Amino acid sequence: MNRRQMLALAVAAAALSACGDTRQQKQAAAPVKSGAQVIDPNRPSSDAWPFEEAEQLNNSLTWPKTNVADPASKVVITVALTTDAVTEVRNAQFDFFFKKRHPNIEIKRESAPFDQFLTKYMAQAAGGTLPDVLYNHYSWTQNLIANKVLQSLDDYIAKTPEFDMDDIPQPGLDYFKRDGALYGLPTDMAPKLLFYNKDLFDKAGLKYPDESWTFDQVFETARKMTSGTGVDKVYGFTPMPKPAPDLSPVYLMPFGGRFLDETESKVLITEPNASQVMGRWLDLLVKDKAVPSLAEMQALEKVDPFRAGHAAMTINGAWIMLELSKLKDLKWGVTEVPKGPEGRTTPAVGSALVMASSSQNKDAAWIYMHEYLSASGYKFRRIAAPARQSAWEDNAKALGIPADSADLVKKVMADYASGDGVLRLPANKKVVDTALPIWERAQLGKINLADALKEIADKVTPVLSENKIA
Amino acid sequence: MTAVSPLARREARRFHLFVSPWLIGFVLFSAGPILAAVVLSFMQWNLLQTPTWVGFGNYVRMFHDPEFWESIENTVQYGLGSVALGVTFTFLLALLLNQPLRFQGLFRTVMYLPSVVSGLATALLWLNILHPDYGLINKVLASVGVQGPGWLASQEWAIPGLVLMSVWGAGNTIVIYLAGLQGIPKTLYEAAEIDGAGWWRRFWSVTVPMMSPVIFFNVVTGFIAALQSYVLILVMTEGGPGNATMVLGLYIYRHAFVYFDMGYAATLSWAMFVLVIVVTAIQFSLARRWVHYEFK
Repeated sequence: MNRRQMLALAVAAAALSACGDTRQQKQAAAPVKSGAQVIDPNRPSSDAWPFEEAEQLNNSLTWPKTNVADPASKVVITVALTTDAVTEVRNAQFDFFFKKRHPNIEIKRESAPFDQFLTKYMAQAAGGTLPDVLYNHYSWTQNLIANKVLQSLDDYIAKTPEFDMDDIPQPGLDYFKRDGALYGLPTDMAPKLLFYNKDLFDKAGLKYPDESWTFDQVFETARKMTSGTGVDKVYGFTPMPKPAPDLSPVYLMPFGGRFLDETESKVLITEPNASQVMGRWLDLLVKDKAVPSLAEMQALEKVDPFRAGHAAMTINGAWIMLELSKLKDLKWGVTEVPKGPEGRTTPAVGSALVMASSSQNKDAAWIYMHEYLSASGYKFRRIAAPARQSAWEDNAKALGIPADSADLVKKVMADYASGDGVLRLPANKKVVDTALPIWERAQLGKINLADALKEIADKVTPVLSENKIA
Repeated sequence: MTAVSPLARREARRFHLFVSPWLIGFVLFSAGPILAAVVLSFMQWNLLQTPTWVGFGNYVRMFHDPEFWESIENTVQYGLGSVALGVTFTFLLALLLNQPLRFQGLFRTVMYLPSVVSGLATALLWLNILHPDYGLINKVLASVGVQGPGWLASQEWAIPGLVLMSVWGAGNTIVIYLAGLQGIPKTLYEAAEIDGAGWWRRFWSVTVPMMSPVIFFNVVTGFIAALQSYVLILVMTEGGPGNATMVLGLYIYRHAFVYFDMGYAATLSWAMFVLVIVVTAIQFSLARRWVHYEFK
């Protein structure tokens, strides 16, 4: 190929790559994904987590003790977590200092992306080769407990008086309990809150939301704050509520409604209290266009319109405060979720570490979990939404999260956040996948509200039989 | 008994030597799972418990599953659309690329480039191209006064949108067509020209019949690939909106690796196998009417 042909090829390639409109690509920066990275096991370090700083922090913390004895000879435990490349360095640093405290416990670390994690470890569970300690999303745990894959942790907790259970929000532990036994300990735990864009409220000349707000005010304000078109569009609220594990506590229970009943054996979304709220949201989308439609969400290509500065309000987990704090162009505020006629509810949601019942080194696994999930462990790892409430202030300060926001989270967790209404039984994913396409058809105007909710009830009801755990 | 020559024996040994890696791989990694899938389709198994025998339960369930039939409908629509458009469009492109033009090599390279782009990049690119407001296609339509559809955000247009995308990576098909076009003896065109045949007559009476075995090959393999497609659809629409793009491959994936309902997933896989066989058999039976073989 001569130079002229090479130049033509380059121009053609550039033209091809420019086929898509670039305006939205700016908004839709792809998330950083964990890639192959080399971490020096003798001195794990990165720009974000320098080794010296980690060493200094490690030495400043008091590491707790347990009555479970260290192994007399070398053992290897496998720990499987789902983390990004940045956090993986911090975990490697934790392991490095842990091994100094426990020379006979060798740690083999595994990491898998969240969307592949369950598939990978279900296959391993089927083969009887699970890691000793592994990450667990709250919606997976009951299925694994029912199938006897997980080890109850109560005996180990009893042997560890320093493991302060009162420091962990008790209502958020229900996901990991069965028949009174506890099988998982939360790695993070936070409530959902109402976030707002201060600039957009200032521009509209409206008062910021506060703890006195009701959902009626949210609807009214969302309509008022919707403006513009195309890339200048501002939505009053995002996202559109949908049949998801937390639909009930966030959107329905404040109105006395629920998606499913408490035992997840009956669909209640057609009941008047629930259907009226769903109808109000549908109106806000279809009539007022104050919530991004399915097409508009596609325009934003999985980018949260609130974080992109295109939505005035959103309800989301407190864990997004870390990312919001890094967005210099976004002036945000946060307050409690709005009240409904039946009061205020919010879910306490998070993930956990669990121990495999097949583990051959349970004592060593417990020693690791104990330190990883201690207040010092949370502070070392700088978790943005620590389940241990005593770690909140330190971590918020270190991560640049405003102190009053951290106080708000602690207050909500102590006052009323709970796991009530959050779907967690084995069929939860199938329930959502069954209901969601029907709700999408309602959003597209292909089916009216009453028919959509009835169809959801008709199709989800048989699925719920899978929630019966023997 | 016929004596086998040393040359034939040597050729046979080499044949077995060269074919053995594929054969070993097939037995270890394909034949085993295929047989396991037969047994599993009669069982209920969630990976964690011991599989339980349910007889024809999964098959009965499948026939009564409206989403299964919906996925079949979507799959057939996608298969027909992508094969019809793909075979026609790539054939026309191959005809153009076969012209003795300047920069012919460059054009061929450019047309092949999309085939080497990764699936995820293709999906992201096409999400942009098909976007209702900002996408290239709707902008072009708007420039001639036509308001474009919602594509992947619309139940009616989501499958056509995916069909359009499926043509994108058809570089391999173009290469096969090009090879076929270059294999047509020039003497046939010369004879037709002497008989006074114009461009269209030469194309219709020489090119198309001579290319019909190649077109048939691309139709058969294109259908088989289209009926099994799901990865890009998973990335782009996850089966939505409202199950409009829930194709059979995606439905199988969901039951196997999201719900861990392995028995039912195996049953659905056999349904896909039957679908592929039926569609292929129909094509072979129709082929007698239009595929021309030079030597029979």
